[in-house]
Amino acid sequence: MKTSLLLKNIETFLIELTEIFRFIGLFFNNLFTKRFEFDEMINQMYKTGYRSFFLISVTGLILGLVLTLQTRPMMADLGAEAWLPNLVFVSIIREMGPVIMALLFAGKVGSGIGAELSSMRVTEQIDAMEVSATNPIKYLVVTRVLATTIMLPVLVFYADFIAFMGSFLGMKAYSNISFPLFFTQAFDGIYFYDIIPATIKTFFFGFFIGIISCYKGYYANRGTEGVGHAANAAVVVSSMVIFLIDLIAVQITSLFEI
Amino acid sequence: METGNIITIQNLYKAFAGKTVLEDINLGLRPGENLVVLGKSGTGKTVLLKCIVGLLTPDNGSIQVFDTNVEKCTHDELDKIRTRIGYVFQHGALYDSISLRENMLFPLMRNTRFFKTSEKEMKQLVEKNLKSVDLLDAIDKMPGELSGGMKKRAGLARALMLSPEIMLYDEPTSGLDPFTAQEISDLIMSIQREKGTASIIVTHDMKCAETVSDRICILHNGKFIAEGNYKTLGVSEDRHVSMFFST
Repeated sequence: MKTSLLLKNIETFLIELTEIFRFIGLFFNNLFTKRFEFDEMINQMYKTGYRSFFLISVTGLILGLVLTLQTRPMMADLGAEAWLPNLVFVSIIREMGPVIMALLFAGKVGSGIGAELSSMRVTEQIDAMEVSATNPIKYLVVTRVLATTIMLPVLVFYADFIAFMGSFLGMKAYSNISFPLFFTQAFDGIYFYDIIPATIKTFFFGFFIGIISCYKGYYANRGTEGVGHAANAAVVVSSMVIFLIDLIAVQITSLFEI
Repeated sequence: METGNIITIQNLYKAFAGKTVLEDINLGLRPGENLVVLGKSGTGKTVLLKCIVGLLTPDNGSIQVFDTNVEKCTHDELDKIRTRIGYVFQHGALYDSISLRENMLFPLMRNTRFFKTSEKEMKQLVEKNLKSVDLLDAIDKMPGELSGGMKKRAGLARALMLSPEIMLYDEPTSGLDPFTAQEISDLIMSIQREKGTASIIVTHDMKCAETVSDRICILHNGKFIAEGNYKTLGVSEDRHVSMFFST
């Protein structure tokens, strides 16, 4: 009984995985065909990016501040307080910034896309679009996935900067450090290879948040219950994929000894 | 099957997860006629409409719209056919993130490759169609601010934006009070009269069927079991037919 249930779950998982890959294929197929929905993409970039700035600002500031305040006593005990700005900034740029912001982005934007598209599906708006001779994959999916793929790296860059300022405030609370000195200490050990892999992975985070959320919303069913399920599944699956991509990114960077 | 039909359906089969929904459906829609497909809920009426516009693919059989085979044509051909069909959804299916005006403009803006319309003409067309369904005052409202009846009328006005030759109505009067339902039925009649469109109206509302039908086909368990006009079917002794007329 348990074995058959396990097999059934594995089968469902594999079918879902195949469907997601098929959906990714559909995305690329529509991305490179005629008539690009530029206006709608700008609209989605505004919705996903600009409207997330406040959340990202607050979270980034607190992230930098808390990380500095939590790490400072330990570093002070070791007499390595001068390394604190660099330690905090490296951890933010390499790991904390991209992953935490991607998780927030999945929660805010991913759930929104999942809920919006699923609601459009159950109220037949997607069908209405199709009978108006409009390709809904191009209009709804391609624009949203491109918007999340482009906007997440921008937001992460911005969040890194805000976290940097938060970290400075944290340092300032306990020492008389000047901003130029803090800046020099923070950037002292930062190299391009800290920034490049972290930036590349944020593009993947953005792409998969977009594609998973669109997939969950686009194929929603079961009426209003399906809307809630799609929004929830968009966040849960995106979050898991973020950690999976992060793990793969770490392995790849280790492989190249970056 | 009679020639001269603008929609011809032959031996149509459609099943979902092994359950047959439509079985051996044969149907022809003549130019300018209002054909009512009458059936209980869940008998496959909406599935039939969705097969006609290519939203669903039949498992077997053929559907010809304007002499083009819908299930075999290319995306571009299908788009071209769709611009000649107006589809009125059961609950209006208005895009709820944009205003009523933008909803009306959507089909026009999306089909500039088929229709060359200036901005001024588009504006005039929006106002004309909204006026015809008595919704001009609500032009800048969001769909969420409209009542159920207003949404249906707005959906109908939107379907008229591309001046279609065929109208497909999915339960146009369901969930409405008798007065609003009668308004919708009258609108369907005026569209047929003024624009000369041919229509398929799927419904289980007998009052609506009586008002709008030139011909009625009765769908039962995925099959057409009777065809005729309101009067001839009204005296039928078949219990599946008479149950509609006795209510």
